[in-house]
Amino acid sequence: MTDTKRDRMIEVRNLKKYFPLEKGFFSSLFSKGDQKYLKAVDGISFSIHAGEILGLAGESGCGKTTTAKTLVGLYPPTEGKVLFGGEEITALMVRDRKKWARTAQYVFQNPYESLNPRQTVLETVMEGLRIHHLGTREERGGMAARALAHVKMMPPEDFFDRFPHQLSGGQRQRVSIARTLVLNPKLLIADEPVSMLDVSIRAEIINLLKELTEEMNLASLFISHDISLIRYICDRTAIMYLGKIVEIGPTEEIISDPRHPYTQLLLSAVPVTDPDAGRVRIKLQGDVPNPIDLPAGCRFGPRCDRAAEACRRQEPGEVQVGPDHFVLCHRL
Amino acid sequence: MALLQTRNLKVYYRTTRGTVQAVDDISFSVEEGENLGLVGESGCGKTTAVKAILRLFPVNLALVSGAIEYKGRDILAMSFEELSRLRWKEIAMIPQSAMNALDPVYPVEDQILEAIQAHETLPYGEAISRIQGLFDLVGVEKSRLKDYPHQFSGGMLQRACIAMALSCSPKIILADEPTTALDVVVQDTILQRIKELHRKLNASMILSSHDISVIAETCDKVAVMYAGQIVEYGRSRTIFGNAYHPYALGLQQAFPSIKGAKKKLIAIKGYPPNLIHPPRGCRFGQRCPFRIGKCITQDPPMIEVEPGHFSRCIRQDIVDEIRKKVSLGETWENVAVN
Repeated sequence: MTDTKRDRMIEVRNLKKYFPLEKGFFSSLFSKGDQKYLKAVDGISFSIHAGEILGLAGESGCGKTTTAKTLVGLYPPTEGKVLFGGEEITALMVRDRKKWARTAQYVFQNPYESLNPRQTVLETVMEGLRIHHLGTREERGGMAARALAHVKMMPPEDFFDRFPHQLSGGQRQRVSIARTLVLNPKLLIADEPVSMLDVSIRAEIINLLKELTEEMNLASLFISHDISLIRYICDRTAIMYLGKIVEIGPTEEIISDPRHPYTQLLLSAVPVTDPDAGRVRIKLQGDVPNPIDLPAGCRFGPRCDRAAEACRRQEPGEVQVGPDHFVLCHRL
Repeated sequence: MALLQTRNLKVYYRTTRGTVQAVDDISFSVEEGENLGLVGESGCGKTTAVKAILRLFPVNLALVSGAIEYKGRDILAMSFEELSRLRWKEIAMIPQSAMNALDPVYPVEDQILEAIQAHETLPYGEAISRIQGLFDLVGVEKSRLKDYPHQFSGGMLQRACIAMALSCSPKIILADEPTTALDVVVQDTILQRIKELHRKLNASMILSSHDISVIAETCDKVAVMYAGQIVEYGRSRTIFGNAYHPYALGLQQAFPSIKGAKKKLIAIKGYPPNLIHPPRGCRFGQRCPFRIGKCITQDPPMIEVEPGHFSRCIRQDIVDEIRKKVSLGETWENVAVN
């Protein structure tokens, strides 16, 4: 989907990522059927500006993480284009992954698993510098210290020689962020960065990501299934369902005036902390369809209470409903 | 008399580094048809407390003391035969992770059948029709009964576990983080289902969760736990409207909401104390912006701040000030945590 705002740092056009399904031995001998694909990401477009956080929300299996991993070059895209600062870099992302990795950095979900337990904090943060041949050995210590100070691990020297098991969950996640910042990335992808952390310390990491994005003028992609968190941190939000972005727009607009039936459903399911709130729930039919045999027409059609004939026949196109707000639906 | 009541329950574990005071002196009660929520962060003792009710202890149990009274009889003092009659027939449990709770090599139906036959003598046909009825109740198609667990989605597995917990019509259902691994839409359907069943069967429920909004929407009464203790206990309307304990108040400010004005989220600096050597005085003292000298030197008692509402904080004199200041980021940032 396009939008009308300022300088786009990263732009994704019609990105697709299909995973071929392996056939069993016998069926490969006896059947000639076509190769089947799992369409994890099926033609999505969005852009992120410098200094902006885009939220990507949706249920598990909708393609959020595949989108993120394709963006950092961990998966080669099946189709589509990725533009960085206006230049196409789709092929380069995969071919020269190391170079792209300096620009696009990834913060993983689980800080208990994503840090090497045998490396000290200093080694962890300096590893990227070593791999990319940045600075001399002496300079790297200083760069690591600055990155740690940036994520508010003060004084940094106190943490240099600690191992991950000597850190709390929040501190570990800050080390994960520091090791990405030390490379001066332009694109920061945070994949459920707080879902493994306790509620009382989540805000540390969330506020930090927000500040860093503004301060370092990053384009950030924040992936979460928690819409309340997305509302708190993201400027714009994209809602994904079965490999498609069904709605994208300014976060407040999406939350106060969701237009796609799936967005409405998702929002109506979020619990609130007020015992007297009396939420209005939208009743849902069925389960999420299998992404291998997608329904014809609109993917949400079989579960949608507004579905009509057109929804079963044709995939909906993008409809603009606001200056920067787009929806994939026939029945607006 | 309360249907279930714990009095000064303590559960300690032995580890190589010392004794962990996982649950330390907690008391709560559940009336018939009432929903109690245990809310707190990981390691606060929710699961230990819930499992203790069925006397499910790990092998490294070091100490269990106090009392857990069900209809006036102490579960901790029961003979094993008595306990077996109580388990599942009277008190049943929905385990934390349904993905791992079922045996992968037996069809779901057989596993529920086993639970029924272990506790009741019932002809096969009747048991099967009961299971079919239960599947109707929790909203899974009967045709899926013969399926194996791997053929179910996460939400269906969780529903199957609920069906299993309901299979002997228990008086109390213990639900330990029943929706934590699930997506928000599925979570919502499951919670709706649990609430409906609760109304229909008039069973009581103890629900543990780290998600305060889930507790707020489901429970009549809430116990906020921190570091093995209950720090605030009372009606959920009071706790989510006008809480008294700084931790209970802080936790709510750390939780983003989809409704209302957007406010800055606060982070409670530091982390919970080590339960092998818990600090003297208030366990939240180290992280609390409102602590005074006395907080660190004296164990705070549970204070009845309103009839039936308790808070483990000695600073009730300035509760209005605390409530005013908790939403400000500075309040929490300036705490010197050691």
